[in-house]
Amino acid sequence: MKLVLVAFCFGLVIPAAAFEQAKPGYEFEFPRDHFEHPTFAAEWWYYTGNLATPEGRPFGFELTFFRVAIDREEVRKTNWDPGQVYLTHFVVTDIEAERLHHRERVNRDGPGLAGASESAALIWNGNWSVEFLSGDPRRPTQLVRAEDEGILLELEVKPAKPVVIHGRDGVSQKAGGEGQASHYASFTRLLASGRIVLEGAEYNVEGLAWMDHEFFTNNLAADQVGWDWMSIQLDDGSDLMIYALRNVDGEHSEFSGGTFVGASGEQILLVAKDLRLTPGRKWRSIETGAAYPVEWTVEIPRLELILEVRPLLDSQEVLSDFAFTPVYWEGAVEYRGKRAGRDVAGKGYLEMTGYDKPVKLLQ
Amino acid sequence: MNHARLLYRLIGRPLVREPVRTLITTLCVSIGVAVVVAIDLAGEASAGSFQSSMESLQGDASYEISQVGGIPDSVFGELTRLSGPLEFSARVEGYATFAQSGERLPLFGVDIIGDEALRSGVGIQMADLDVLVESRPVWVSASLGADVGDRIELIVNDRLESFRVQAVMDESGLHSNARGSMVVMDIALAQRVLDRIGRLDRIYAKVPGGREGKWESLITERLPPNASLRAAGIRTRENRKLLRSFRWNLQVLSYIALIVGAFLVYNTVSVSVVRRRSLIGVARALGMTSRGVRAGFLLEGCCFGVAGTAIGLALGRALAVGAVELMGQTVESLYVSSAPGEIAIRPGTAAVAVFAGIGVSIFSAWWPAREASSVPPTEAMAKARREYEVEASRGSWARASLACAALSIGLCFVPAWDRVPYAGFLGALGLILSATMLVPQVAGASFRSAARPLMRIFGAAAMVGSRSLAGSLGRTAVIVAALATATAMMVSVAIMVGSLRETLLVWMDSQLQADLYVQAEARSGVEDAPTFSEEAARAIEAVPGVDAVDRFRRYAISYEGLPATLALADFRVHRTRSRMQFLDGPDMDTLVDRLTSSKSVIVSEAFGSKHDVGVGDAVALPIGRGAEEFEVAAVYFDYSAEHGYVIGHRDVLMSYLPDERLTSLAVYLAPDAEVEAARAEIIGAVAGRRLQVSRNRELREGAIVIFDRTFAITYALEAVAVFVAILGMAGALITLVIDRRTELGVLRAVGATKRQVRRLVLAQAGMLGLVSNFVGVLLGVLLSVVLIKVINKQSFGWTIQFHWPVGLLIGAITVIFAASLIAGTYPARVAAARDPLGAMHEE
Repeated sequence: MKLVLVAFCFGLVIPAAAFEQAKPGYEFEFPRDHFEHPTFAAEWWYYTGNLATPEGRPFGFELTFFRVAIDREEVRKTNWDPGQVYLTHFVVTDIEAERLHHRERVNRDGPGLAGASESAALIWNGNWSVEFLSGDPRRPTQLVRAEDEGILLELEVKPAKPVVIHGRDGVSQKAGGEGQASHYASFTRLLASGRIVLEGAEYNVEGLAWMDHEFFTNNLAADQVGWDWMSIQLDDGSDLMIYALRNVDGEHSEFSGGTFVGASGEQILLVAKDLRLTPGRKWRSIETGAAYPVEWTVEIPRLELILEVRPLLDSQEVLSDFAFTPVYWEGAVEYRGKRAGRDVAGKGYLEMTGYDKPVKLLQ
Repeated sequence: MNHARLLYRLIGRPLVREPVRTLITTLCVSIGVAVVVAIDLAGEASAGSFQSSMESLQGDASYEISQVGGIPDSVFGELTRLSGPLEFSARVEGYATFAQSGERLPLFGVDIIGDEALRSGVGIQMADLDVLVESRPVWVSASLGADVGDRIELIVNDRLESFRVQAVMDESGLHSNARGSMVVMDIALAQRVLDRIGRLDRIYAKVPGGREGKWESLITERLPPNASLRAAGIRTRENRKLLRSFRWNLQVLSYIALIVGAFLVYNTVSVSVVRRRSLIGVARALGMTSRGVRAGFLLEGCCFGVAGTAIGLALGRALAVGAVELMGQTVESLYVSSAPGEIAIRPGTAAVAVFAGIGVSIFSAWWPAREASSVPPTEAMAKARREYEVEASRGSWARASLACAALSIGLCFVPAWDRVPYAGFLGALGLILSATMLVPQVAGASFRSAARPLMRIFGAAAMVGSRSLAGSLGRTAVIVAALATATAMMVSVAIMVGSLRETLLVWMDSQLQADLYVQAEARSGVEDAPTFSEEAARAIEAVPGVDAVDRFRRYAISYEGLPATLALADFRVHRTRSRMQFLDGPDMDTLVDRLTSSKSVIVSEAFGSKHDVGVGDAVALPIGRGAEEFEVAAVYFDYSAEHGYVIGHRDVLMSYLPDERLTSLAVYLAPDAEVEAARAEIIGAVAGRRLQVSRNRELREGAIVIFDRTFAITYALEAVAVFVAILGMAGALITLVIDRRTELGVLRAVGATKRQVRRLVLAQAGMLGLVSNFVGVLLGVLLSVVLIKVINKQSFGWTIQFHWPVGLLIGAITVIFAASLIAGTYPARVAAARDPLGAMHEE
């Protein structure tokens, strides 16, 4: 879903014909598929998580690498001819202090400025990086590191479950029509430990993180204005990813869906009719005037699951230095509810776009 | 009568009653102040806006990294991956010539996509990325006059390139006071058009404050050994350092104009004192203290000072515009490419102006005021005026003069301190002072001995005039001193510049031996020259009739904290053809053997004196593994730039440097070849490239044009000096006439005709002009020796052959003499028109 956002940022006309489409039958292969797919127009690696100090002080974090191909046909004469552009968002949410620390960085691949290289086992944008350590390629330990003036995040994340491939037959369908889809894989439960430094104060933290990796070439359909997305890590050991595309009329699209990953790793594919998402309380941003439904009720009868979604902090809207980057709400949330009659609780991340104004699609 | 009114009678009224005198004195002070202010302002402004435009793009970086020949791209990639809150910013830097106007513009290649600091600092917005290379977008400064969407053509190196204006940079958004024009483009495009693919010219690093040492070593570890990490903005400081002695030279010259003004204030106030002796006596008798009298006359000096400073500041600000233009040319040809920066009156400038104007005026009024304060009340009764006498102490003046001269000459042997010849400047000022002290003696003798011959030639009036001058030597001496100082300044500078020009001509004769010179069409500057490819050189080499070519490439380097130039030349070609002039070194054959077979270089005289290296010494060049040692095989004469030159043999140095592109090519033709035909053939051989093929003669003419432009500012100061001198002359004569009105009245009463009185005053003007010229020329020659042998040698490291610019000198002296006569016509008319009885009654 982030693709649209990235493409929008740069006002790109992606010459789709030059790129490969996400089509059913794609065979994932790791570690290769953890890294860059330059034959696809766009790609993202998306780390989020809920952390806490031993004393229980909570933090949320997001480190997201977006890749956009500029032009596959271009013959590169210099190392600087822009082939790929990486946009990275780095957010640490200090829930207790009610503050969102946000940094962003854009680079072309250039002479080693940014990339996602299998040979280096590294995804990086300058010195913001994720290093994949060797080991089982389906559950590699990763070192997440990002640093800027007054802010540092350093985590070791270990997959508690192997990599999950979403959708059917290697593709996650986003709209009607061939290629209106992505290849989408996740680490839904990463055991995270490390440290956060905020304005000189250092915190040792532990918690659960999530990683999404998605690559594709086509965009959302023209009648879609935005989306709502959730990662849910429940205390019974199960994880859940759900996404709901919103149409112009405000209704959720028929191509919404998700994946349930049980405690022992078993997967259940969810489709639009399995999901019932009801927006609740709205929080209005002073900055943009957008009203985000920061509380939700999620009902999935098929899983006998009902969850109330509450934000850990209302104001987790991510603003950008770039006037042309759309704003979005991306934040740490907690879940409470029942699964098969038993109380469950959990944490995760909620992402909402298209609330300040419709996310305009590419021509 | 109260004191205020007394004071007004004493000081205020004469100021108002004699407006011409007041005006001229004030004007002289103000011109002195204006010149000082203008030079100060212009020096600051022309210190370079290449730097300020560079600074505007450098943001608040802590360090800058550079490497002779460029830093490999990959180094930048590695640096950006270093842990730590560090920010790096890559630059490709060069120059382009704006095809439309011929203006030479700094061209910056920046990372339009990733450079955060730049986007926020300069307001460069991210363009559509997919058009970044294809549509060749550039960001230009508003001063270029281009609009968004325009196509502009730039000559970059040896090609004409077309670009599209993506945006006009908002100057208010720039850091510092960037005012120079510039062109900014994406680094990928800049590398292509400047032929610097794979290389960066500079990397800026921003590190958190406080722990710089730690970051410094972290960064240095990742750098190639010959790359240097230095404080950001170091080049600006280095260039400023290099410029400092040049600015000092101009400033000292400008102070001389001020000295002329000081003499005039002294003269005016002392005449006031003498004229109003009886009035002072009355004032004293009425109870005014001697301290009050002194304060009164100091106040008169102060009035000139305040008015002069006020006018001078405004005038200086206006003159600075022209001065910046002129100084900019000097800076551009000798130091660093620059478009003038902003002219801004800083507190420092104002302080200098106040000190120069008010301070010098009060200082000049001090002695006359003290004289006035010693007038006893009984003076009121005295009928006869008393010339306050210099005569009595003449002997001691002469002794003081000699002592001062001896001291000044001694100062000339003191070496420069931090490359500024402070002692030399003091010596020059000391010589002026000692000449001034000798003036009463010389002038007195001249006026007395001239009386008889004058009588014979011009009649009694001239004789009386001459005697009258001798009689009031206390003041006429000062006039002579003022005029002589101005003349001396003019003469000395004329001799210095003339000598340098002649030296340059002779030097060029030996230096430029090739028949044709080839360079890229884009204009070159001191620190940066456009390049062209080795293939072009080979194509030219193959042209029939071409006997040999000397491949020349230069790089701007920093050596011991000063800008310098490292150049590569083909010394095999020099073996038989060069007539380079050496200050020190072996014969040509031995030299060429040494240069082509060992790690040896030759250095220019300026480099040698700046860094104190001579034949046999080692210079550590920032190439190869860094601090590569080369032995100095010879020191040669060079007058092309104040930067020092280090030149090595091309084949030897090429193993330390990355690319084989050239900055110029000297083409030697076969003896039977026809130059024009060969030129046409060469142009044909490199068709499609923007290369300039110049004949030897054209290059020389171009060099002289540049030389004259370089020293235009000195010529301008000359003009000011002459103007001040003439003004001083007029002012002095006016005071003389005012001073002598009784005498003139008596003359008229005893039967002198108006014509005779007019003649008398004119004769006085002529006498003053002549004596001043005489003293001025002598002093000027002396000063020129100090300028050439001491001040120039110490500041620039150039050996200048002494040369008399006879024509210029005779012309200037004639102008001053004629001007002194013209300046005399007005006072002559005033004197003649005076009612003789009224004048006598005043007593």
